[in-house]
Amino acid sequence: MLWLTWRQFRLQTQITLAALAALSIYLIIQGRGIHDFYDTQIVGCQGDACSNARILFQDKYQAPVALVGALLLGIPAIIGIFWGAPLIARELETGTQRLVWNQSVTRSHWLAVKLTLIALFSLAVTGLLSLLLSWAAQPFDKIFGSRFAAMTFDSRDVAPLGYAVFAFVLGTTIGLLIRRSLPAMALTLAIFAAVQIVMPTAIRPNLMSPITASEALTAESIERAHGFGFSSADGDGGGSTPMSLFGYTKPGAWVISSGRLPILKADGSAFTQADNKACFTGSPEKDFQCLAAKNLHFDLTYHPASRYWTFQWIETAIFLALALALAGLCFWRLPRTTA
Amino acid sequence: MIWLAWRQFRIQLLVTLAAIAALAIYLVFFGRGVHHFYDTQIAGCTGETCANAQEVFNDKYFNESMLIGAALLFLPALIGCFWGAPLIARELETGTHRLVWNQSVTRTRWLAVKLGFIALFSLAVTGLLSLLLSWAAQPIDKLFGSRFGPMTFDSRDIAPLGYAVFAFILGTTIGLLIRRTLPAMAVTLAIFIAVQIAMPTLIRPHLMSPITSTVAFTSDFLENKQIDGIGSSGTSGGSSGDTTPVGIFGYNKPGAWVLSSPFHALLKADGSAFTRVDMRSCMTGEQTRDGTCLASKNVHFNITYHPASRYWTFQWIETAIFLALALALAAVCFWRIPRGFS
Repeated sequence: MLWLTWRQFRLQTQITLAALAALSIYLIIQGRGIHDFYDTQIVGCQGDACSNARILFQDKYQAPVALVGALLLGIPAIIGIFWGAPLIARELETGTQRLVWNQSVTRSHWLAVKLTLIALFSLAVTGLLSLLLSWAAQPFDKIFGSRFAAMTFDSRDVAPLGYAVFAFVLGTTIGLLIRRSLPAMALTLAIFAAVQIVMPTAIRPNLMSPITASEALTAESIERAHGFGFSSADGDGGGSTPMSLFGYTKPGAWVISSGRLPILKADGSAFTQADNKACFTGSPEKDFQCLAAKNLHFDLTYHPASRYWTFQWIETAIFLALALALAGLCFWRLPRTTA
Repeated sequence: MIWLAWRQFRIQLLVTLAAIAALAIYLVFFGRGVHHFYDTQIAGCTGETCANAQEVFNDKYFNESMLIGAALLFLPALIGCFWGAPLIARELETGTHRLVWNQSVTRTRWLAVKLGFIALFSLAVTGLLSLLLSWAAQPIDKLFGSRFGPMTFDSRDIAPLGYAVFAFILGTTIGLLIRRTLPAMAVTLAIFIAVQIAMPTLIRPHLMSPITSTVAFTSDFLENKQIDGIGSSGTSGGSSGDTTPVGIFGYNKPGAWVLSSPFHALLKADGSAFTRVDMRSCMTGEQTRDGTCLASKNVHFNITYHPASRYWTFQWIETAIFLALALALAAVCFWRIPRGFS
């Protein structure tokens, strides 16, 4: 049975190993470059040299990091389409199941060996690439990326493992149910892509209940936002126009609130343009200190940075559980399939 | 023959039409939202209101526009894999070519109808989506995107058309040569992705020779955020010391495609390097005054770029290249198909 699996999967294994080796070498070279640039030019930099070095750093490595990240998002889909969907469908389509299921090995045993071996191989491939990318891109993510951003979260650490196994078993199940390779491949791709879009946008934010806390408005928090003031949706700029913080980022955290955060006074009423005028001298530094002294705050809904690994494990567990459930469906359905 | 092509392609066609209809409706809604926001809150805004409204605009629509753009980049790959690769390979694999090629229709004519019919359909699908996205995302591209950015350029206007036809014929050709569906699909996907990466990074910059010109430093650079930074960094020759050359980091030329690295060394009027000691007298920390002071020193820097006016030339060149490649591959198919295969 091991021999059969190896014989039927030999070409895929060899091609994958070759591609994996090439990509690993590329990642190691890029990773060394990224770490070297970071250690020599960004760690311990001072003044304008710091922000300028970051511009060069971003220009040089943004494209490779994004590209490999996108590839790591695509690999589970490829595994599901090319390894999962044809696994049973192709036997059924070409009629070879009549030969293979009439040997001394039972159908369930046959399926168990095939599923386990290829799932483990998928885990190994995705795990190695994810490990290398997470290491290589680590300084880059630290400076420019949010670890919770959809593309980053799904292509680093343990999350890709769950996706890979899920995609593989999903493809196998659809192949078993539809019994034809090409439609099964197309359907696997459609479902998996939908899952990949729905997960970060609709499901992940609600995996744990976000924290809503009021943050004090300080000079530092104004500088961390992209803007302070009002936009034309808030009013015409007259005295009663409420002021907001725009594009506020909290280091390492996943901010769920929208890009506009209304500023509130200590009693909870809106901080308006009229209140703001007193602080507006034209010198940003002095203005920020003046604003900070007014004891203002804003409400922020977010997931703190400390939850990153919890989220990674929850998501991996969800996809492994889904994969197990689908595998259970396969084991139930296979003995009842007409040969 | 048209009836046969329709019968064999019917499910794909109906599934695609349903998906396209859904996506088109979504794009129309998305586009109306984007245009409405832009017209009411950004067009004609003044001062800080502008920057803040842009922030909200970005937060609300940018990720969505990127996602649709990515889908449009991926669509040609799907066409190549699922329509192109199995077109001939599946007939050969299942042996149905023996029946179909022994009818009153010649192999060449059979291939011509199939290729023509599906290529036109691919063009129509990609063209409609590209048209809708180019319209919907136009205000976003204007504010945040570079039209020459690899993801933007390939998913707007006419470039997707060339990619779609090329991917389809590439898949067909590989299927004809490999004669097995699954390997042909995998090879098509691998080659097409390689082309999609190589084109914007290695080939496109050289399709026309870039312009190198001298830009004078003017006082509004700092305030208008036309540059990301000024000064020096570790790689530009040390971060401190009087003789360290200083330069511009990240010069944004509106609409143009800047090819030179983001560090542009500042030069004095005589061509010698502008150094830290020259700059120091201007650095008071107050942007407007510093900008005026630096501008009065009469410094300049060199950039290599493709001007914004070349955008449509590049679009047409790239589309023409992929259509020509598609034609060449189609010729390979027409040459190969009457020879052999029993």
